[in-house]
Amino acid sequence: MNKYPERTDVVIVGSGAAGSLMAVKLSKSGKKVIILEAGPIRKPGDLISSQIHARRLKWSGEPVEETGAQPIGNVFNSGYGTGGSALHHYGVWPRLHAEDFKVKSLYGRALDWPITYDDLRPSYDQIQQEVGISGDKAREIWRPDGADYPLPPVPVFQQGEIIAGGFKKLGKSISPLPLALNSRDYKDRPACLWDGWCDAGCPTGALANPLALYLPQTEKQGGKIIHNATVSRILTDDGGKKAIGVIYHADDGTEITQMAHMVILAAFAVQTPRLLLNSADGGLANRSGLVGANIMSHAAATVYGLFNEEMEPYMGATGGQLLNQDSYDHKDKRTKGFGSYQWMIAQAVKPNDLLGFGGTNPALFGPKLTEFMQQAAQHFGGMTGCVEDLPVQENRITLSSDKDKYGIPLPTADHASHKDSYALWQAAKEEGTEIFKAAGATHIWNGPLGPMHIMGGTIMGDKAEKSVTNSYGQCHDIDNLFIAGPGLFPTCGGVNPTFTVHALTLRSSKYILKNWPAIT
Amino acid sequence: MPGARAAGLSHYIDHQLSSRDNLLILRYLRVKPPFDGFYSSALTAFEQAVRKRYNKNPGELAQGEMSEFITSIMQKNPEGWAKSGEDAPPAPFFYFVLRSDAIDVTYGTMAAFDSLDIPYMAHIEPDHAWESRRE
Repeated sequence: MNKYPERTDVVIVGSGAAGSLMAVKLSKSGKKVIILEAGPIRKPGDLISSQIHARRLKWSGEPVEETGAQPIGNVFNSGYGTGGSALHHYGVWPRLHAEDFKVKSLYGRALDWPITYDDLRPSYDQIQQEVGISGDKAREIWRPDGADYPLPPVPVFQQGEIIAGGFKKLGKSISPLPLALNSRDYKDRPACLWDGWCDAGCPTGALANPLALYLPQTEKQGGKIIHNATVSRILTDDGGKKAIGVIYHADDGTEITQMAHMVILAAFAVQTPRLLLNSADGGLANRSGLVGANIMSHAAATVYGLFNEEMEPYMGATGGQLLNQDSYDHKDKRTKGFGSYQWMIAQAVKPNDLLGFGGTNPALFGPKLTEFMQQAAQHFGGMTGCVEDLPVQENRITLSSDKDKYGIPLPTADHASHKDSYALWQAAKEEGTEIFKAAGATHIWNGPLGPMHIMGGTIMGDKAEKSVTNSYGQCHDIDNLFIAGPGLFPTCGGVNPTFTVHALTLRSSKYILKNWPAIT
Repeated sequence: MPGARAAGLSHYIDHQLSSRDNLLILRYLRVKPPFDGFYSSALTAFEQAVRKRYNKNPGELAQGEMSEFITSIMQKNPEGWAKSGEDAPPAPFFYFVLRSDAIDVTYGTMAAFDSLDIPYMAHIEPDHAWESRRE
């Protein structure tokens, strides 16, 4: 059965960080916006404080085949349902640095962004005021210039204090971790309770996720979100130069054609290229041949330790309490490899799950595991390095020969770290181990390389033959087809992507509104 | 994992496998659902490898033998594992998954947090349906 609802101004695919922000800005200016979300509806009351229940928020759509030496971890890193992956993100919101935008120009490798930090700085500043970031600009000595954080820094608990001692002993700097969590009440949203349930989704609204912020505002302004809506194709006019809508499948299998003046793909870095590749022979908006290429994922360098002190490892935010970016600028000055990384220090941790302390040392079993669990509950400390992943064109999303229930080819994600990124990950682990020794850890160990965040796949750039979109996410080949989200990143730096996703999306929304008649 | 049986490990896995909304950690680990075959093939492989090495069923192993066998599967497939069927997952991977399941069921509940002296601090308390069926 087919349905053809009324044409709308804008159809947005995906309700995560980028989709929800784009929706609120466009609907506020009077555009009729429909968001199509593949997953189910989520409400604050669904965000149960449990690492087992938290898995419900992760990707559970059709499977993504992952290949390569360092797979991207699609399920853990993606979201499914209202708010997408931003619903379970940890709210670590540092800015990219100026040199992240000019890696090719400065070092003759990787890629440049088509914009500079200064182009994005006003958007970073506006977003942090809207959302509320807790931090301390003066102590965050590595941070590029911009407005002060609107909220005071997050508290430091025992775990943070003790690990900070290691950094200080080695002459390294630390600052409060900039978090999109309220350190005090802010704009009708309450302060965080520092209970460490971020991964399960924050039902109080203290953490800036789409349910707490932009989606309710969108609906209030008349925007509409349709759940369980799996988009299979972007429709274009006969010449293929203009997007005219999308086809999606409702949960009952009904095929619906939603016509629109503008199509915005905000379906994250795997599903957005999948959609483009499935929408035309050779892929839509794919003159460059780069749709799907340059998929990146930060390498997580984990350092764990047991300490004699009471650490209170359950207190704080899942993202951490403190930050170090001493190994960020001057990407060519690392002991090994090339690139940037930061330490997120003293993350609140639970006993179970992929990031729980019980999983950190798989060699332990039986009574030794019991003994470890009891000791770690009070004496565990940890920190994670967010290590830059250099873009590699062969790391890419392609279409599989397998198909989903609607007959759409499944995506395959192939990813292997650049050798210099892998070497940088090793260097980070070594540095982290020395820091934990200096902090007085009695036992220290590391985890394997874990994929963290997914970026790239539809990169932006100046030239149509070397990128998929311009700096606003506007496809080079189709003026009224936009992409929003981390898929636009040509390089990923060594910081968490969500703040930059917001800044880029805000900038794009202003461009769209300013140029609406010409674009549509 | 001491305590996993009493905490209802087998009920937990059965419950999740029979749920439409399966919450096993296996979701994260690049295994295509449904997951029933993962567990059944691995358990068959486990049993056959134990028989090959000790000429006993797994339940008959002494504690020392079980520890020795578990240590042997952490890094590679033990002898007898490969013959159990081509679909069986690698032994080290099965070990990691089952160990994680055991930690989930033993330490992932409010009562377990309490036993570790960790404040649970729930915003919304979980209801773990499998708990009512534990031994």
